[in-house]
Amino acid sequence: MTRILSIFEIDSETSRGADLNDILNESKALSLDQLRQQVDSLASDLILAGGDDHSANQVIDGLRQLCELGLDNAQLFDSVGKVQQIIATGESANRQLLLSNCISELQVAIAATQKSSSDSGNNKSSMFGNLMEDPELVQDFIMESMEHLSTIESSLLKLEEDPSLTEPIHCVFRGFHTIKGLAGFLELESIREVAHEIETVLDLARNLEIDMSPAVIDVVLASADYLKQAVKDVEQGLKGDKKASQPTAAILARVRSLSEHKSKGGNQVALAESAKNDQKANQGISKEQLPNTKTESSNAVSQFSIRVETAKLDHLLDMVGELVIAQSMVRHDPTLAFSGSVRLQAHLAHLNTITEEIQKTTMTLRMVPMATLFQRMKRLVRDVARKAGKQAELELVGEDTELDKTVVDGLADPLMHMVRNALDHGVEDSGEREAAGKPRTAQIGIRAYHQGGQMVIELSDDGRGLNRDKILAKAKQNGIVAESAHLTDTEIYQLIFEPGFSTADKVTDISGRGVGMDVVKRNILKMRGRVDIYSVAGSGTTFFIRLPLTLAIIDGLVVGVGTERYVVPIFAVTEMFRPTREMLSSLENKYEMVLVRGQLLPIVRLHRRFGIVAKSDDPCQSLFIVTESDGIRFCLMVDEFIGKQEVVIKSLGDCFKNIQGIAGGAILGDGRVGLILEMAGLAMEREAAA
Amino acid sequence: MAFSVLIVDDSPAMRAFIRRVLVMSGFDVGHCVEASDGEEALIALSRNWIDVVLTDINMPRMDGEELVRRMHHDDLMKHIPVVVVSTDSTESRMSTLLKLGAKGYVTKPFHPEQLKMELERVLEVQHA
Repeated sequence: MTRILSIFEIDSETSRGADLNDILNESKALSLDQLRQQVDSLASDLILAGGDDHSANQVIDGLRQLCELGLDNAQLFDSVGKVQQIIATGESANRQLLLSNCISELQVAIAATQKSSSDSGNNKSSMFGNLMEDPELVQDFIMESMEHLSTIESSLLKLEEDPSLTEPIHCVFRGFHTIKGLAGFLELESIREVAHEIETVLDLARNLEIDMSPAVIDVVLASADYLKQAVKDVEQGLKGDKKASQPTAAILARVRSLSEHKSKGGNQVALAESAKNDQKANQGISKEQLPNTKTESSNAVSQFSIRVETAKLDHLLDMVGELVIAQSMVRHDPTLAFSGSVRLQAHLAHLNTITEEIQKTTMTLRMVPMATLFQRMKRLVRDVARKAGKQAELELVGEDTELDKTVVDGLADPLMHMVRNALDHGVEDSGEREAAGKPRTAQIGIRAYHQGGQMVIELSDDGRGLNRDKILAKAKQNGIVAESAHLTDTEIYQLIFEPGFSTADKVTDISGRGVGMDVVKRNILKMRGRVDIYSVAGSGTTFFIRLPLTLAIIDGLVVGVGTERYVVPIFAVTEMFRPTREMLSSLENKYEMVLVRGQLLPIVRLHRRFGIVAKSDDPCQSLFIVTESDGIRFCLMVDEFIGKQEVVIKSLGDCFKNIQGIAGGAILGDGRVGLILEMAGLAMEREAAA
Repeated sequence: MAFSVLIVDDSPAMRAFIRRVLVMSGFDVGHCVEASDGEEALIALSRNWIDVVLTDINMPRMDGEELVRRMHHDDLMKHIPVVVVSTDSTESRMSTLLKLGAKGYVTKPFHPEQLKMELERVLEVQHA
């Protein structure tokens, strides 16, 4: 009894801890009746202690109530133990708070016991089970966690550049903290646990007890990746497919090793302790003085944007395209010219300005900045360079350059692969670089910019450059190129995009398996883009990826064949000319060829291909368009050139989607329908015919 | 009597959770106001009738500690009870906030009833 009383005298003696242990051990051995007595004596002690301590009385009441309810012993012991512990270890200042916390805990326990006795059927069900069943809350959790994880990643990379920054650490900490809290409510134990452990590490970092070394950042990034996957699994679960969650043991061990590592260096801790105090003293002021502008602005962006289905946007874009065409049809209507009304002309001109503005704005709706994609590249370069044991710096230009969302998404994989390749094969290791007189750290550059209605993405490295002879030899060895073939540099470089082509002598786990570059090219072609390579042996390689700004509209040359109109995508056109008799020749009177700038190119007569009647069958009365697709160059023979126009691509529907050589249809300025030609398809047919 | 509650947390999902748990708990919630940090909370407090504040600690711009401190030093707001809702269950943190003027402390994740009891406790303290 007196022992219990002594616990209440908070700052009395040093043997307090031992006392407490005694009581705890004792109470474990006690029977329920004895425990009841203990509770009673605890109550009388309180009165004796002159306590009108309301909270303490409530605790006692709670304990008594639990006894009445006949709660299972283990839990009751636990509660009593907790009360005693709280009382024993608490400072007088927060004793009341701790007690009141305890009261609510007890009341919960009481309520739970009452409930379980009233409905004994489903007592062991999940506490927050109904939260997890609310898809909206789970969706909120997923969205927010993903946002935090991407902020975490960018902050970590910032931190790696300059480990002395404090704001990124806070930012990363807050991110994990929120995820942990949310996961706690949804009872996503593995997510909560990982987030919690990483939070511990970050807390140490925040208090300058450990350095944010690259190794630490590695682990934090890895756990962010883990969480990303875990959150995705939750999302999958929401859709109905249950998936086993990933094992946490490995990642937890990695994270824990960090926080444990710290506690070994006692000296360091003491040092850090003083720094910590300093920092604490400053914290209050610095936080106010330096408002976090970054978070503010990003918050502002998310607040003033709404999510719209892409299908709706596409439809809008489509309709705007139609609007522009309809508008131009009205403007070019001959009856208008006859009317001669100045007022009508002025109104139409006004309408024209508005439609153009609408078109421009609509186009930007689907546009997103390259920044997110670039962000990924930063991470990639860092990871791959570390893995390959090389030093590399990434220089990014044009983060704000905007590009159609679909194109950005489609570009992610190819670009990542190319960066990986550049680091793995293109860039030499530091020793080799030094021997070659280059700086130890390699430079990888990605530049994005608009050029002539196209998006250009330049990926450059200052590595060893492409080995022309090695590529050619390998291609001959693999039978991709005939032994006797003579190829230009450009053609040789394009060989690296052939399926199954790799000159890497050893296969690394980063790249070099010969899958990838062909996929890269295929993906880029699919988006109506092209890749060019420029390389200087010994000083580096640059890839130029050219893409249309949007997939919905293309710049085309409108050409006429007979009475028909066709659209040739401008990106496929190299030049146009009318041939002279001397330029033409034929092989075995069958394969028609034309000599253009010293190169013999095959001719494709469009009217023959589509079985229509041309104005003239004489090539010298026709127009030749030199086109290039998949590295195959040929000349397309058409009757006449009508004009250059931006056209909205319309699908021809499922029925005609397999027609080779036609990519779709478009409504032309004069209201007629023109078919959009697909050069790769035409080239293939040519080969098939040959 | 229904109580007006101000929920302060930088995570919108967390605010939604807390609101949800509040409703589930059977606590008599009237008007429910939200703020994403201390600064917003102070504005919300000046514009709305609030009976009780539930606040997170770790927030950008103005954190929970500062919010509690400011409220405690304001003649109009110091009577509004603040319950700190945090994953941080360390005693030093609790005592700091208590000293600053917080009336209650709930550790995340909490049982709906736990929250309700804590709220009713601080509100009773207020009335007594």
